[in-house]
Amino acid sequence: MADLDVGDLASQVAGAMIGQLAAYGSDAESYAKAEAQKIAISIAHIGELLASGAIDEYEAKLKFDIQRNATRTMLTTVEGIGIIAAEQAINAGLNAIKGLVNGALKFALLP
Amino acid sequence: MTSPQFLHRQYSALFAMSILLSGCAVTLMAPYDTKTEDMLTAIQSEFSAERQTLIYAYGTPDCLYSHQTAFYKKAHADIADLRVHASALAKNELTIREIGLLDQSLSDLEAIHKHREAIKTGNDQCMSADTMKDDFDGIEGTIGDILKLEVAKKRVTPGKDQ
Repeated sequence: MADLDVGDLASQVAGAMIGQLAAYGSDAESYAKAEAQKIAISIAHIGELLASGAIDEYEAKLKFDIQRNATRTMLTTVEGIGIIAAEQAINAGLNAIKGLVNGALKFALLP
Repeated sequence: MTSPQFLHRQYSALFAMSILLSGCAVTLMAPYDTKTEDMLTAIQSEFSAERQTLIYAYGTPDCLYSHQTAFYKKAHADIADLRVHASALAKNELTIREIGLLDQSLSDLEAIHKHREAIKTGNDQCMSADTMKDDFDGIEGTIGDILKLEVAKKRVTPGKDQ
């Protein structure tokens, strides 16, 4: 390991990871905001239908449950995108130092 | 004295090195699955078709729940098939959870439809385009979000052409 500086490796890994996470984080935020807007509009509409007598309380509860399930699904997708982002970040970090590490060791430790 | 920056640097280095020792790419989520996407798209088509059927059938006996049970039966069965397929893939818990929420929403829609036939009279037994808009939009959103997660599993780098 004489040719490998741990501090330098950590810096390169961190740089690659942060790049990946920032890109996904921005996507996830805009996606969540757009979905939240849609759900808010739906909930307001359910309130209007109930107030006008077009639906009763039983239906309103079921309709709200459908919206809640949509919100839960949206949040689960954002969570999943975050996990994939973490995975991508770790692998990007490894990839960033692959050449350096394998070259220094004269052995393909990182495939 | 040990500064927080120094500790952070050391932990980062240790983290990186521990991954190095594993010697392979890290996988935290199931891979993209074409069949899951196809099955979801087919289920979405069933919902779209049913929505149009109910709109065109408004004011006729075909709008009633008792005339539409075939749709619910098939949709529940197709979602169950999707859940079994998704369960066969490792690290796919989030998608399985989402499929469960979709099935719950279908049950909610079915309960609304059944309820209207049971307690209303005349055209009010039907679900009008306006009254069912939120339900179908919500379910479409649910399916769309499951699809988005599936497509994200392709691991395409953000900002690049897909």
